[in-house]
Amino acid sequence: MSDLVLKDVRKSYGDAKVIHGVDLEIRDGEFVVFVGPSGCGKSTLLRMIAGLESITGGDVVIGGEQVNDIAPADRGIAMVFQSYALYPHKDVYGNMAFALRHAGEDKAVIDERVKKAADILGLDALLKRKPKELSGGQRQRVAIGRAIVRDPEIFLFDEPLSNLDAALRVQMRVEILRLHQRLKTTMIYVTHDQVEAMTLADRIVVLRDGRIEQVGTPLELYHHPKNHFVAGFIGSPKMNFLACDRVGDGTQVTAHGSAPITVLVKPRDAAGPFTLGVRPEHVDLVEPGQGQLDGTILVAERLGGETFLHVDLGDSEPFVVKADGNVRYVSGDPVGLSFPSDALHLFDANGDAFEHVERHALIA
Amino acid sequence: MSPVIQGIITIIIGVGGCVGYFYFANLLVDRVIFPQRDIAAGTTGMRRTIGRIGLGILLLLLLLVMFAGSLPDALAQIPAAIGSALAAFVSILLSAAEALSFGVEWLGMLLSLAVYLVLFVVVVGGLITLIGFAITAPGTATTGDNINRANQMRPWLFLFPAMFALGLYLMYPVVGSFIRSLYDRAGTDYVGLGNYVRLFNNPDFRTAFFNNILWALVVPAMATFMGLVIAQLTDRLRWGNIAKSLVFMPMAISFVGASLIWKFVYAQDPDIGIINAIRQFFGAEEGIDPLQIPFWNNFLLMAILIWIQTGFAMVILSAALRGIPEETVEAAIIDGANPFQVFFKIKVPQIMGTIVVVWTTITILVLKVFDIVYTMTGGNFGTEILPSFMMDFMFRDDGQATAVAFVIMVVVLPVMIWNIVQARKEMR
Repeated sequence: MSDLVLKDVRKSYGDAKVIHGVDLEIRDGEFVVFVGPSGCGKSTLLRMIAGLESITGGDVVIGGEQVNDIAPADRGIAMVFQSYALYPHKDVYGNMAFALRHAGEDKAVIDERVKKAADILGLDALLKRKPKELSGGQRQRVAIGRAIVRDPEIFLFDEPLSNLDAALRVQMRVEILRLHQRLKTTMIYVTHDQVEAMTLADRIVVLRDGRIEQVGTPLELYHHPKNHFVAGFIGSPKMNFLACDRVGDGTQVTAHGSAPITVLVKPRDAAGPFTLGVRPEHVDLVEPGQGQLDGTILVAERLGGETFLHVDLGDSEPFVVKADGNVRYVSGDPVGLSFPSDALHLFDANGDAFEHVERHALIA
Repeated sequence: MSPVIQGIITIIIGVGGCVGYFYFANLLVDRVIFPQRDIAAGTTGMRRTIGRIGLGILLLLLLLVMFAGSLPDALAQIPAAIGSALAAFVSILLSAAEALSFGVEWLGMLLSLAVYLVLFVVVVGGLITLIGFAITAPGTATTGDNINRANQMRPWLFLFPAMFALGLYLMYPVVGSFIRSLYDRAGTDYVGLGNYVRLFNNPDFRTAFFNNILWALVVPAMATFMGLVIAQLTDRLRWGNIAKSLVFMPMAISFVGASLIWKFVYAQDPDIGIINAIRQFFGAEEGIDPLQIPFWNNFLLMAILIWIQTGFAMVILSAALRGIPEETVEAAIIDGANPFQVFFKIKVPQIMGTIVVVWTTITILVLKVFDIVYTMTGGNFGTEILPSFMMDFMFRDDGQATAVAFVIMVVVLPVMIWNIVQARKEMR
């Protein structure tokens, strides 16, 4: 077990710069998730930590040792790939034992460690099978088992659940979480799925275009996004954004000519135009005229327990509101929207968020 | 008639015949034999009877033809009578076509061609219909039954032309050669396995057989190994594709052409042959003829085929190497494998199926090679192999020649079966 430090890590392919100086400290035993849209460099960063990509600039430090020029096998890491990357010609046992055999371990030791890993992952009955005789979930377990057997200091997961179907993904997500609780090893997990990021991570690293946008606990990112991008990326359905104007002392805004809406942020000088951000689950539905804004329902997406209303406010994008699933909503009906001021976000022209007056109760 | 028109007519008849066969055969199956409607039990019974009687008559005629010698004259005459009646009928049709053409030559040819085509369609169609009728199930046939049965019959319909052609041009020669190999030089007296006994007692044959085994072991091994190594080494190079093109080029040269090129390499004159040039550089006085060095000259000949076949192995194996998922290689690197181990323990096992296919394909080719030996040494100096040995007998003692041919086939057969099995596994 070990901590990992990235110091101004850079990567470029010829003239194309992919990673623009990433600084990050990952503590021993932490579960960190890299998340971001495709092409943001999250996989590249992971592969640089693994040693599969060379490092153009900066340092990767594992357990206090700079590992830039150390071979992948000697970095104390193990990696699980999206496509499992099992050796098709070896059985499950052979796949898991491969690394140990190369390290010249004793047969008895290999046997013991493979059996132990198989036991943890429930693979005991499958040890003699070839990868093609396994289901997707079993293959992924073998890939994880191959990583466990090496007893690494850091686990690297590269979108490990993307090839699984939805039900299996949920199941494997829980298994990975329990594995982390059991092994207490540092884990770095790359995904583009923000549900995986939110549920698994101790801390989430949001990346965009080779830069870190924000690092924080899942709740921190949800309640106090640093900027427009993080606010829009975390949360499902995504946050609604409304162009707005500041009025009064700067803590009140009007959007679409609404009545003044109070936003509990620390006022500061910033250039407009401003954007008001509000999550679908933080909007109250009221009778038309009773709230700060009125709109008409375009579509009602019924999920049973809840209903997502797409409300037309005159913008190109509909305004999404999470509503009670037990109430009947009809397309074309007018609705009033009321914004509770403690759950609103305000962004300046650069997309930077205004700091909230109070931190959320669950975040220290 | 101008050759151009002849060519065009050939193409039209060929393509039209194929398309026509599939079109009309399907039509026959879907409309006549298994029409897409319900058929009453009485009708199916009648169909079965017609089909079985028809096929029975055909079978009977076949038997009559086969055993014509041991039958009373009256019976033996029947097929001949039917044959001459049919011939008379055809000649009537042909003369009608002749008459209709009013002396225009090309019209006459076209019409007689049409007559033959119609006869072919009638014969094949009639056969399909009879078989279809004969296999009609008893009882009422519903529309669904008929559609299902038509679909069951369709694959055979599509396979029939290929099976017929293969049977005629592949199976018949094999059987024919084997039978011929049981007869003496003139082909008149049956000698049993005498030709084979004589072969195996012939020291030249034993040399050829031994050499051929050497060829079949060395050439595929070397060509596959070098192809694999070159494919791997050139994979990541910028000029790798140029290198690959150069290695592949000998594939385009005929064996005889390649042999001529290598005759220069092995030439005795140091000004021409590189081997003797090198010897001279190191101070050798006399030039030697490398092709006369006993035993080792075999390997000098094999080098030519290796030179030709390495390109083939390289191209196929290069494609296979590219098909290996990159992640398995990366996983192996993380697991601590060095480049050699990655290649031999991760990459090679994953393309083992392809390697076997390449290996066996080259083996089959090796067992057929004749030109190289014939051009380079003519089989002298102990370089004889089976095909060139067979060539020595051909047209002089066909009994022995076909015996050699059969020995070659027996040797190739297991390799070929393995090749097919592996290739099919690869395709899955």
